[in-house]
Amino acid sequence: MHGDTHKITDEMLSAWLDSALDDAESRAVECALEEDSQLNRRLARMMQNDRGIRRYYRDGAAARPVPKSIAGLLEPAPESADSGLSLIKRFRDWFPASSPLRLATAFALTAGIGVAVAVLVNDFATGPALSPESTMALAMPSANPELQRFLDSQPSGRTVAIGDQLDGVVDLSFEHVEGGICRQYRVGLPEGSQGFAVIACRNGDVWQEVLAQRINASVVGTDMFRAAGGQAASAIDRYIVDNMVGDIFVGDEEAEILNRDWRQR
Amino acid sequence: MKLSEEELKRVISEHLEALRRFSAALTGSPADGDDLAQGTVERLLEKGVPRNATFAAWMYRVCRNLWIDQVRKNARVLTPGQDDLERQMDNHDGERAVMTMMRMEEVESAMRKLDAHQREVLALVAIEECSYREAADILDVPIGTVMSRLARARKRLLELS
Repeated sequence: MHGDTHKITDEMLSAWLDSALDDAESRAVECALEEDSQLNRRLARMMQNDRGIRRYYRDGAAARPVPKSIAGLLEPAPESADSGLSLIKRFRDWFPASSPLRLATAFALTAGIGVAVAVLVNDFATGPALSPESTMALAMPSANPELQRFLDSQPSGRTVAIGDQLDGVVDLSFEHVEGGICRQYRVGLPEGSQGFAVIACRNGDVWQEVLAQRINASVVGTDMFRAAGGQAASAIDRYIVDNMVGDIFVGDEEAEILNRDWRQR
Repeated sequence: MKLSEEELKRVISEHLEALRRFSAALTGSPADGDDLAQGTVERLLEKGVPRNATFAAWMYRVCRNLWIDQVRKNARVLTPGQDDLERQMDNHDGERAVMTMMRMEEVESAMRKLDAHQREVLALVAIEECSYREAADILDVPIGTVMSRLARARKRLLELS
């Protein structure tokens, strides 16, 4: 490259500044810089200008307080006394949590939503297993008509007996990204140690489970959804966050949809 | 699937300083930049951001598009006159504590004399330290275009400084 410094263009100098040249081109620029003091000064001024601009905008942005009009836009939404909002808070607080989960059983495909129904079994489960298969069947609306009625009629946040064998509570309702309403609920045997957190989605006139996760039944009836081990809600929460559109339905909004037999407008 | 509003607010807050820098560089002045940054935040909150998007790139793109909309509506942003320069001076008492008056005048004046394409590529590469590939993705142009616009911007700054 010696003697060829006239071929070093501003484009090459600029790219050299950004380490965007390949090795051969970089060497050519560096050789030229050694021989050509004018080119060297040009590069130095380019660097100086870059530094000045960077310092000006970086220091300027850092020194200026964030305008109240922008800060106001980014304030968290205020929470009200509505119980449903604590469930929204749960997503804000818990969403980052994740844990290794072992896929135990894949059941079937739902026609309406098109996702595999899966039961996720956590390693944290404690206490003697109380016929998990039978409990599992009881916890699924496709196998338990009582659960269909429970999901049809119960607003979120109310723990009720479901038939003779189960206690249950709906935690929230949401609209699925592929259409239709889904509800997430928990059920457990009243005197047992095991239960399930389940997401079921409305498929025509019936509720169809799409995801179930084993939880400790002692948390059914409390608002401590994660109490069994912290990780209990992670798969359920992630599914909801990944598949929900709009906001979680709570309070009057949920009641309105419930009164419309879960049909969307 | 989009980020929830709360997630979006959190991630915008994390990138707010970069957004304000980028906006200031695009408009030429921190005060105008904050107006653009506010518009960008409003647009991000209104339209949402896909969960699988690279947030910073998405944010820069929204900001740039908004700015282009503004430029189209108000051509004087591209060709500032003396009034604009005086208005900037009036608005920027805060910066004087940080920078000398001369330097501020030089930088803002020079940036505002660049053409729009030069300013945005300089903002991304020289200020935000994006790679050429990242800048090309954000601006939706080939890498070669990034390289040539950047070189022209730096050459123009040499002429102005």
